[in-house]
Amino acid sequence: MAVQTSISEGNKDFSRIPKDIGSSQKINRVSLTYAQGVMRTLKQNSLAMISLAFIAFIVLVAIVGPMILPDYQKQDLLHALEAQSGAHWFGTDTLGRDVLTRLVRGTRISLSIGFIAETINLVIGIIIGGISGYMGGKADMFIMRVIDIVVSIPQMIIMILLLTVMKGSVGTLLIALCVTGWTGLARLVRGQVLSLRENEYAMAAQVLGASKWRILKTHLIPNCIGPILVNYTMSVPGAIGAEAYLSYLGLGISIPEASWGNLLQMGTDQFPGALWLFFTPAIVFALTMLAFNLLGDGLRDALDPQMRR
Amino acid sequence: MSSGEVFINTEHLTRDFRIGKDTLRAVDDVSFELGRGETFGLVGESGCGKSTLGRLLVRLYKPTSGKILYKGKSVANLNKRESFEYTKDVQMIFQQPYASLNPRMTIGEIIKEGMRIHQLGSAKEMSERVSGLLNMVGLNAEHANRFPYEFSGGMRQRAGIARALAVNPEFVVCDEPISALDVSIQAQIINLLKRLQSELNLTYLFIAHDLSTVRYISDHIGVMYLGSIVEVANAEELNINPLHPYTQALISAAPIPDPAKENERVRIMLEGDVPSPINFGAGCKFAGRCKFANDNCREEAPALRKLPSGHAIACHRMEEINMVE
Repeated sequence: MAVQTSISEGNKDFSRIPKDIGSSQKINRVSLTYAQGVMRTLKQNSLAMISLAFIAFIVLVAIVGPMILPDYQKQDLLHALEAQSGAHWFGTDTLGRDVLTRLVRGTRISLSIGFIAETINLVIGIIIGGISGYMGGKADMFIMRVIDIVVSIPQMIIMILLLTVMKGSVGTLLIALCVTGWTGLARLVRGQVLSLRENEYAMAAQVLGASKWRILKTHLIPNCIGPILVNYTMSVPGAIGAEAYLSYLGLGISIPEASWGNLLQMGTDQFPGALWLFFTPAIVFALTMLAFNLLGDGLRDALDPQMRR
Repeated sequence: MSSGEVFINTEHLTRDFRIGKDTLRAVDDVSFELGRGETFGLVGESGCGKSTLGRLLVRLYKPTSGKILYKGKSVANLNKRESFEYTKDVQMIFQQPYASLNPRMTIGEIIKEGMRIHQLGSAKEMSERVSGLLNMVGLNAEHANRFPYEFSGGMRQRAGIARALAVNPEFVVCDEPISALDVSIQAQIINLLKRLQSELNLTYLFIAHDLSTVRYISDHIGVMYLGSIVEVANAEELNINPLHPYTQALISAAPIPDPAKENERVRIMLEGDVPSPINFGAGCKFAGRCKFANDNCREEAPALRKLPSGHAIACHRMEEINMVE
């Protein structure tokens, strides 16, 4: 690989500088994995970081809170509908139950439904979308038509129908949310896989004898993790919102169990007499939704290679 | 370099693509053969089907008709185990150094993948082999833990070569491995491929659109035009004595690195555009752009015929044309 140079006779001042291939190929940049790179960009977005911290706090409360607080179903009719006080920081409800304790319990239920439902949708969506995009042909046709049919029926109607047949509980809510919820992600993954499989690295794996499953698992899915993650972050508040909506209508989680939906429902029943009953869950609910959406936006920017620094 | 035996050959290989209601014939009745340890250069302008031919050989595409024979055996008739072996014996080096490496995997993981699939050795042996391969292609063992985005184009192409070589292939399809690289890097990669060929006794199908690089690395050169091979000859012979009017035009388009000679020579300028590969009619495909074409050329497609010199050419008027010159 020597570079050929000719030095004219008269010019004795010039001498050739030896070429050092070894040092020219040294990379000084600190090696960052994909996740490290994303975190570095995300950290520069203060709104997203505050949102992340808020979500972490809410999740922590949902996990630890019910363990240290007293029974959320304990009634105390003598102290019903009391405003905020030292004994009851967020007041009491119509049956004298502590609002803070119920709110914490409701947070646990609502967040669990949001996360579990969307995680189930995530798994179903990735598998079905991946198969559809990579196998193509008749399998793809069939899956896409099924999705078209599922999507053509309004989601709320399916959920309300299902919940009128089944008794409202965490389990039935999860079923209602997952019957239709996977379609969006399946479409997203299919589209990604369709474009990624034309990449030369997917072909290289095929030439090396990799199975379809292996190519999907090690090459295609990991490369669409960005959009999947953004979609997930944006879907969790959707599921939490749907739970609140259904419980508010009396179709989801019913009293004495607590959830953000039925807390809000009691709040509107007593509105405007006991404002704390409405505003306490409403503020927590709204802030959580906002935080998820801001985090999702931040993630989308951080995952976009053009935004990388 | 050739040992004489036919290592891989194709017989009337054809590949169609459906485009709506039309059929695009990307590779049209291609037959050629390749001896062990040889390099067959394939040149032609973009869209002439060279890459499709390469992908047919590594079985990324299935032929519409015709067959590929590997060591005399039809590739279409291989059983499951033999098919799997074929993916070890036949490898490919890709055109785009940026798109051919999975951005989520380290270079070491990328090179190891083939060894994992074919179960070549323990984890420790594989890591050692990765270091060995990296050194062989002119990278450092330290690069195994790096990600593709940290590499330059030339380094990525080296990593792509290491990935192909990791499974000890015998035949490597190089699909324009240098066309996306800087000229200075091109020479390095060509020399690397040449060195590896002599060290590992590899057989290459070298695809390019640039005659001057193909001339340097190939034993034989095939010239493709619109899906068909129009001329095959020894690399030297093709350059000194091109017989097909298309090859003559192609060679005259390559610049000569000597300004005096460059100014003297007459360039053959081709008229018109490449016709559409969709539903072309009968006759020689080059007829529309060929100044020697007569009615016969427009009606009957010429077959590739072998001349006593070893030269093969698909042209009705070859004798007359080359008498004139």
